[in-house]
Amino acid sequence: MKWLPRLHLRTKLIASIVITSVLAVVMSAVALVRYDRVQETSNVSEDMKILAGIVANRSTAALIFGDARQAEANLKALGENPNVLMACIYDSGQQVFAIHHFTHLDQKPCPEEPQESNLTIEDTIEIYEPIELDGLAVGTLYMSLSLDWLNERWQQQLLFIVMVIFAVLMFSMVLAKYLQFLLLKPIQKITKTAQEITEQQDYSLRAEKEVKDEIGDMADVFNGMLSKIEDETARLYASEEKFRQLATLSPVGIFQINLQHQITYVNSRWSEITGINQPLANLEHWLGRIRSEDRRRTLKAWSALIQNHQEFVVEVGFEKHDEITWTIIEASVLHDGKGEVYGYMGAISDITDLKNAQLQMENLAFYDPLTGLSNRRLFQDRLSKAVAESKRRGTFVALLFLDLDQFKRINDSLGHDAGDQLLVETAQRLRDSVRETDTVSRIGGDEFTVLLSDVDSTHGVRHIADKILKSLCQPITLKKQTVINTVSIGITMAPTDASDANKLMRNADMAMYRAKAMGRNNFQFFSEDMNKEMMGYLEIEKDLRHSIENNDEFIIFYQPKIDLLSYQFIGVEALIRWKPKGKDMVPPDRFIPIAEESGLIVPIGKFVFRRSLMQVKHLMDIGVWPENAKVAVNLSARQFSDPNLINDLNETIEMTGCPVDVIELEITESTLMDHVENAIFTMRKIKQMGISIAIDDFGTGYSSLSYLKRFPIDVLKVDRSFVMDIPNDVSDMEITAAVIAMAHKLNLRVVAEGIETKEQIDFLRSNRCEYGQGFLIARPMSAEDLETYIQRPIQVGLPSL
Amino acid sequence: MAKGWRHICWVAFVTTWLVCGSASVFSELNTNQIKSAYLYQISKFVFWPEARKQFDHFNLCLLGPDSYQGNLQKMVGRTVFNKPVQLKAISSLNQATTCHLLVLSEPDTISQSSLQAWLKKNPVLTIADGSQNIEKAMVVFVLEEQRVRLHINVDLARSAGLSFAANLLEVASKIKTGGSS
Repeated sequence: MKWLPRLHLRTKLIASIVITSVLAVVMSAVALVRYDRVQETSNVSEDMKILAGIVANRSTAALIFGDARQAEANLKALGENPNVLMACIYDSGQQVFAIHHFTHLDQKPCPEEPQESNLTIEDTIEIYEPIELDGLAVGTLYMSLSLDWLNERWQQQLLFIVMVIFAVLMFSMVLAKYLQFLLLKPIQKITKTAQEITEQQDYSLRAEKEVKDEIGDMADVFNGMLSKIEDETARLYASEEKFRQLATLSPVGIFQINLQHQITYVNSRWSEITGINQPLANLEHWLGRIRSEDRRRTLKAWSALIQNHQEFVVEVGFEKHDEITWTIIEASVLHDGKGEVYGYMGAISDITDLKNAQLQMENLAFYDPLTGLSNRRLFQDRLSKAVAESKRRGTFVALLFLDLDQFKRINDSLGHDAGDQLLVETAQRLRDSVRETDTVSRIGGDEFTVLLSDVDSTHGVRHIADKILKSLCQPITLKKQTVINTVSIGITMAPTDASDANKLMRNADMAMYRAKAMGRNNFQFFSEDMNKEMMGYLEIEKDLRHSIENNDEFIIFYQPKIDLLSYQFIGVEALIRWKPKGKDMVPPDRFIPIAEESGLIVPIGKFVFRRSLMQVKHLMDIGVWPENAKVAVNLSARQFSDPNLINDLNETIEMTGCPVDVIELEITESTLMDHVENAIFTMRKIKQMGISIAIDDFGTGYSSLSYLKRFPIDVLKVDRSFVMDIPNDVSDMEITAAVIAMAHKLNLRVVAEGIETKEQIDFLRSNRCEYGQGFLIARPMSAEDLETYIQRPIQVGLPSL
Repeated sequence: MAKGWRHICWVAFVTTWLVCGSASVFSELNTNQIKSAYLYQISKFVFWPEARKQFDHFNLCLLGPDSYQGNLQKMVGRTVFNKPVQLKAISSLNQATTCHLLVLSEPDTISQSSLQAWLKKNPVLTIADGSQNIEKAMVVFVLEEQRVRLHINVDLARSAGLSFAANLLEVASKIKTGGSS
């Protein structure tokens, strides 16, 4: 029966109808014929029994009176039925009394004696009818009846049945054909539509609904499915088109790579950036073009992506005819509908301009152009790194702070040139006195530092300090005059004295002053007593704790910021002032470091945030606060890494009712660079609240461009140290210009701090720096004064527009 | 029960004997025996008026000397339409009014006309021997080809209010009816 399911539906349909009809006819015919045979036999038997009864009765007298001729004559009456073969009469002695044959053929004798049963039907019907008179049996009548007529009847019936079967066969074939047409045609149409769709990929085709039965429903369902596919296809096409447009117009190079590392898709911008024109190059070929310095890092990032599906952002350069094209490559994995990785997709952006600006800025920012030594910024960075390294390795770092004893005198008497020459010579001698690995920096006019790493003991440090003192006190010829210059050295050890770069600098500075006080041309080691004595550290900390409990000793001052193009007031920076009870005002740079170190900065910072929001809210309520103006509040490193930061901010905002869009948080660059990933996470949270973020003191840390791009920031504040020297220091001016240019490339606005002169404002305006802040514009002021300030005419005290 | 069973056996025996006798052992039985047996059988094929069936007995009357040589006596004790057979020897027709069956042993002694007139009043089946007596007896025993055969006068019987079963007529070798035979 395995072949059965393989048959065509058409065949099955026809076969089932034909077989069913014929079977029905045959079965009913057989049943009818059987019934007819039984009925007919019974009818004939009944008739013959009645006839036999009549003849038997009639033959009584002939039997009794021994009239055999009369008996035979009576038997002839049975011949009325042509099927009667023979008849006999037996007397009471069971002897044959009379016999009559109705056929000439096959003339059998009468059975030897009559049977008990009066009717048997086998090949013939045999009837034994008793002959009775007055209840007494006087003889028996026997007759046998041929059944040939039944067979003839059967043959006729068979012929008729065959004819009927043939007719039924014909009729059922026609019916099946029609049903097949009725059933299969709609199905075939659906199949045909499906085939056409497969061949032509045209999902607008629809199956025709011809009937309203289940097949009609099937057509509906099929069409519904087609509509869905058509919609999906259209959506997919639209989405692809959108992607194609985006990719074509994108200023970013886009690429897709399959699991075999073949580049399967690139947009035209990709080719422009990479300089690879042939399509479908492979990944290795492309990465091979990366400049050797970046290659290892890039390959590592790629293998992390391929093996661990870790997306990456790398900054790499491509070398081409001695020029480097700087790029940022970002890539991540592509998942298909089932979540399986089927390739990688990424973008490459050309950041050459940005990178060049950064490189230029770094150069300017980190080296002293006169001596070629690292400047204060680079030095501070190296110091931090050296301290971290020493902690890890269990060694010491020595920081030597040097100040030339007679520099001002020489400068004044022999001129700037001589001064510069002295500085260059001093730098050279210092370099000669230390190892290659040690860092010598010029951190100010006549201030130098020497960073000795991997130091075992103070003994070695003393030796070097002696060597420096000896080297520097050698005579030097300046403008044909021999002069002797000496130096005072303050020394501090890390991590023994401190681990923090700023604190170490302070320590060394203190020790240097001690050396000066001890008569110059000597060195002094820092001691904790020295520190405490000078800083009054403990006292300040105690006062701070006291003041935090009584908030009225902190006052918030506001330094206005203005738009440098229109001079419009655009906001303020909230600054804290502290006047402990019964004491003088303590400057922020004196108490803030102590607050930072002791952790008291967190409650102080909260206070500043709360108080300034309340005061700004008040200004808003009385209608003084201009629309779009912002209040900037500093967020210290401690606060920034405080896990409750977001909660605290939310609470304060809710409590004061101050709208979030006027709030800006200033975070120093160095704070952000400590833990970049965490910083990004926290910043995103802050941004989600609707608060703007400004990077404070920008230019003093090492913001990698790739990080800077990822920081969700709005504003860069150029550090006052750059602005301060405009227009005297050309390099600071260049740095400032470069910072502004870079910020604009990153779509950030720039605020210049510490503006004190008209020249500075002119320079910043010419470099399109958006905003400014400084004494020239306005000094920090109380909330009451700010109310008046905002309402007064804008140009007062500024160069005309 | 035992008596009933014996009675049935006896009747069966007699019937068998009679029938066999009539068919094959005929020649060995004397004619009187056969006629006597026939007499009894004939009574079963005759229809008397209903009133005559109400009698207590089936009366078999013999007018004249016993031509059956005592064989008629054998009928006594048997029944016709459930009435016991009673044999009566009578001397005149006047005594025969209650008879069912009247055997005329000497028909010549009775005038044809008076008999026919009497019969119109009395439904009595008359029986005689010899074909010449067909006008006096409704059933006449005749010897033909060594066999006892019947001649029946249907007209005479009808005039007496009697009729015959067709079966009986079929076995009669001569039937007188409607003025023909």
